Amino acid sequence: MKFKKSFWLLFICLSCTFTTVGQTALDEKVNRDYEDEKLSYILFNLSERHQVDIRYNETLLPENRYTYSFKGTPMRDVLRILLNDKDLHYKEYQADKVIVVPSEMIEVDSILTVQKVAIDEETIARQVLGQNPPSGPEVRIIGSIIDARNFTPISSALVINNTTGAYLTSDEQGTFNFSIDTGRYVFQVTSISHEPYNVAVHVKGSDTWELLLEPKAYLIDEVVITGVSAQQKAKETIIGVEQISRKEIKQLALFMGEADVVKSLLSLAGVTTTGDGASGFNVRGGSIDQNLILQDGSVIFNPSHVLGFFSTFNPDIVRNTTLNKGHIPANYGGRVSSVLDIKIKDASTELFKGGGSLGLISSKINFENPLFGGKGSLLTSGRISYAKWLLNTVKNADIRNSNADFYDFNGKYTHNFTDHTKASVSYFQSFDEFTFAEEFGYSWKNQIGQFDLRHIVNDRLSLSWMSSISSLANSQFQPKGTFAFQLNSGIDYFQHSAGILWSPGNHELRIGADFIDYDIQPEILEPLNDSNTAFDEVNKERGQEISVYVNDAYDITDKLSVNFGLRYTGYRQVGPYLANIYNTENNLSTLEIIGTEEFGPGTVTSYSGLEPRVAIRYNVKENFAIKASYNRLYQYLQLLSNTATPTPVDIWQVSTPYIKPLSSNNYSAGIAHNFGSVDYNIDVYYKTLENTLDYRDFARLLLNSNLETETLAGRGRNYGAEISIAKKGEKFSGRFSYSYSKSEHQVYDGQNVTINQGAWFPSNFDQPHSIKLFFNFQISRRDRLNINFIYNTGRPITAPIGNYIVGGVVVSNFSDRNVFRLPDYHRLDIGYTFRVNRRKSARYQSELTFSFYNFYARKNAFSIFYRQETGSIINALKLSVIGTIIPSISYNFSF
Amino acid sequence: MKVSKSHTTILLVLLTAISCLDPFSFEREDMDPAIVIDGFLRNNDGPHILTISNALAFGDKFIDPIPGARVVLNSPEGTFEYEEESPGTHVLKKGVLTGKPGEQYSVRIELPDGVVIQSTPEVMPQPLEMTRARSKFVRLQVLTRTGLPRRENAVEISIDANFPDPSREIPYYIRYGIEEDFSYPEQACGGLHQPKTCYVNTAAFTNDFTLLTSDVLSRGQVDSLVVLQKGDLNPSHYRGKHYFTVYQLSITPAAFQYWERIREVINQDGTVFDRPPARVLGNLYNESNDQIPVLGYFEVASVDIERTAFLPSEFFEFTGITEECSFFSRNRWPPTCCQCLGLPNATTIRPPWF
Repeated sequence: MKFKKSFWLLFICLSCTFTTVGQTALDEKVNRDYEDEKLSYILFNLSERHQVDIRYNETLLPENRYTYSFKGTPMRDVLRILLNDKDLHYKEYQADKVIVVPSEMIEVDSILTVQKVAIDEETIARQVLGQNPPSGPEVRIIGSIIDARNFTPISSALVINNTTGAYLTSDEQGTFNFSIDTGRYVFQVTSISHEPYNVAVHVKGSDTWELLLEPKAYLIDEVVITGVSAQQKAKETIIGVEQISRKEIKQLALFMGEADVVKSLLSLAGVTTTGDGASGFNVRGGSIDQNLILQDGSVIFNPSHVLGFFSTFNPDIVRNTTLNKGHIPANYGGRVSSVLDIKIKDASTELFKGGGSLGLISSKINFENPLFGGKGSLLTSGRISYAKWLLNTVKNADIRNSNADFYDFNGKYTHNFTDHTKASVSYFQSFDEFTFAEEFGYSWKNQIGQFDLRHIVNDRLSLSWMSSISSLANSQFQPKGTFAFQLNSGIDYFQHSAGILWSPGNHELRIGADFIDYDIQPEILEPLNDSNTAFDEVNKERGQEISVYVNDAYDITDKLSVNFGLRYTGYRQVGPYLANIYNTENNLSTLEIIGTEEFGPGTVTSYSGLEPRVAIRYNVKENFAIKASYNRLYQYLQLLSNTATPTPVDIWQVSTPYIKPLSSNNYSAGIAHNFGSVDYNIDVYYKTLENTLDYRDFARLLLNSNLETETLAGRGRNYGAEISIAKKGEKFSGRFSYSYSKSEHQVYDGQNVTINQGAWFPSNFDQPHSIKLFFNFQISRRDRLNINFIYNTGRPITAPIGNYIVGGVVVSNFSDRNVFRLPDYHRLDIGYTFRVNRRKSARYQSELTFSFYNFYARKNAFSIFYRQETGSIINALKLSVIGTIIPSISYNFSF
Repeated sequence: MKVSKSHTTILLVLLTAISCLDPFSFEREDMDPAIVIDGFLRNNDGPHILTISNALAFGDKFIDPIPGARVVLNSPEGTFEYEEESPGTHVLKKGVLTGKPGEQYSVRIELPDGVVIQSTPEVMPQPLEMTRARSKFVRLQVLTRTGLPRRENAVEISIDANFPDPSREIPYYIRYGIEEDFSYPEQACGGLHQPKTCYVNTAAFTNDFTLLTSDVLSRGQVDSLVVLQKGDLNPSHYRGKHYFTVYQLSITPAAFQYWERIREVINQDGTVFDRPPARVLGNLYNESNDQIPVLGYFEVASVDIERTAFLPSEFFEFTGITEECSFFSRNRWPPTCCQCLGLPNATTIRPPWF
């Protein structure tokens, strides 16, 4: 195999020298002094000055500087001295070559002796690369090595051509490429933490090559992550799973230079938002509170910075992001639309590492510290905004006196007690404060504390325990004036989860239980500065939920697999609680209150339900699968939000005797097909919802102890289809998706109070047509261009159909709810990234990203509203939150 | 709790140069018919006025009155029939009836096409007194079409009051209405022209009003409650004395809720904090055809009145703006400088309190 001297070569070695025939390179005497030099330099220098080819992955080497003096020392002893105290070993590879590997790379012997030891024929997979005859004898293979469990790229994996003896390693993104003559070869692919993979390859032409490596048993993560591409999707049982890698998140053009996890989801089919700057995201027509958003398994309630322009997740420390928008396995529950599971990476146990970015309005930094000799590791990250300088550039004094501060912090300590037992403790906090000219403002703070313990009993059985406390505290305030006030509210959330993962034979069985305590904090209105605002306090409800589940992923045959789960949830609202008694069952209003009933600390009301989850996959061919799934889900916690998009001060509401749990039946089916590097998926879905929370006109949700009089229970139906086509490649990758998605509600209780006379009406999140395009071009080794385009049907609105004058004021006469629509939304973003350092193998990596958000400066409507101006005419005004092109620059670095 | 209504500003301000407001061409749909009733009864001797019109298509400016209706007030003292003073405008003339707090009133309206509209009876609340009204010029922040705030000259009217202790008394609900009256002395225009002074009455157009309820008060003493902020000042309206009359209307809880909703509809600012707008229904219903909605309100309220005024010199001192009739060049004078009755609602009859 002839390896081209491209970047991968630089990655693994800086130069090659060959020993002369008849002389052992490692016997050569070394007479050199090194003073305060990095190990990488010493190895490089030795390799360059002596007849030994020393190959190493620079990221494995410590960054410390060393002083050595060698006087006539044999090369093999020099290497031993250099590597011994650094958890590194070297292995001879042919007479004149050595490779530096980590000490724990236990299968190194087998790697390096593949030419001597015959590979067990039974373990060899067979594969054909390249379908079309090449124009010449040499073809090019572009490969990527991916963890088969969580689909993250594997760096520093070795790809050894057992036929020729040549080898290379994968880069940080898990990719490699080489040129080779057509023919038949045997490869062995391995990495420190993965099982070796042997494969006989018939190379017929240029091709891409995706290699999935199984993690070693002791490193299996408890949560199975799926997705990435349809090629995996064709092999994955469950439907409607998407994953975005950290790389993809950063590839999307950045708003204000900020890579964002949640915003990157909007490039996926079936995921929409109500407008620029809106918080959260809507999945297949569901409201944002129907998404379970988890950070390492803990719920986060308001993952928004600056109202919703950015999310609180720091992409630099995210290991992977998975969105279950179709089938939701039984180990998840509590929300009816989707699960967004964001995993924070464990810090390196070997090297001190770090990274960060400098942006226009905020900067981030993160560090990974190995501790206790590699037993422990500490990950810390922080982000802080400095938007104030931007405001200070404005002449208007009120603007200069305004502020939009935010920060977030993550800390995660992981300790490996043994190879089989790992524990982690983590803390997360995010904070936002918005003030305008000391006139009014908002603030909100998320906090999560978490303890996580995992134990591998054997290669088939592992146990896990997780306890977490999550809270959201929010506040709005008006510090000046006759009615200066501060209104505080929030939610505390406690969760304990226990899980067992048992993998007998073709089964992967998950059994577990969750206990959740929802404690909604009282709304407290306090006067400020001795103002005339009356103190008010509205006590809120508390609920508890217990769930037990079993989920089995069973490969019945090579072609047929089923993912079957059953989850039982029991919920109770606990006192103390003062319940209103109404004179009627429907059409509740304060006029119908005939008394109250006081409950003590016990159960006020309870609900329970079984949640069957079934997903089935049949592979017609290896690369073509048909899938279907059914889910039933209950949701006992909902966000009370009567606006198009949630505000920072919206409050959460648990189920009560009058506000019943939201339930959903989700049906979906689809196909996944792979053509070489092109994958396509088609999914269709139908979802029914019971007890949707709708609101009466002008519902007053804050400081209201009779909320049930402001809400209306309805039902919903969301249905649609999604088509996506994706191509992955070294030079070009891209994704196209189209989705048709309807989301409708109906409120009809047989009484007077209905919405739109009891007819089905579009929900706020009904955006039927959505087209998304994402292209990424690797122009050269250092230059990358990406293009992102989004089109969505405008969201429904209620609009005036006339106007009239009453009390001297011109008032609009509005239509039925949501019968009009905003203009359609579309936007093009372009990003260009330039890697500053020439060597991809350099320890310090940095890149500059130039982004053009909303490239053709479309003024997409966030809302249409109506304002009377002088002359008693009502004018319609369009608010475009982003009404121009937003250029930005950011600098990202890692070391 | 009075939540600030400048939410648009904060979004736009913080995004400074990237947000914008643009006129939006709204495609009008054929509107279903709706009848609009706007009427009131006060605890004074009148006149008490009620207007009947059709709702207009969106963007239309002119009122479409419904003439020929019969309007009857039901009161404990019997029924009183309104006189139609002009098409669609019905009046209980001064001295016919004085509303009494604690008494219940309603109206019944029979339209020429047979439609019968009835109001829900309302009990007139007890009157609440203001201590005084105050006025001053301020620099008011307004939002421009470009999305950036700017400061402009404005009038701010506030009141002081000593209401009953909100923790002890029954709840009370207040709406404030403002009228402007100004004198307009003509210039000496030469020849036989004898300059006279006109008096002009107009509603203080702001497209907003202030509401107050005892629910949000911690004490009865209220100082400097701002009831009007009005920019876009016309200098010629300040060439004479300029009065602001504050009407403090003690209204029913249902009326308060109605005006609260009206206020919410007219104060939409397009941001995430806007609740979805909807049709606002009042205390009137169509007895004969519930498919045709009745908009508006028949408000039964007690009223207390306070006035405050500016002198012409105060306006000039604050703004430094010279009104048109003082320009040196007579060519630049508008016709009203010599003929003030050309101003809308102008009269030469001086109000007794002026």
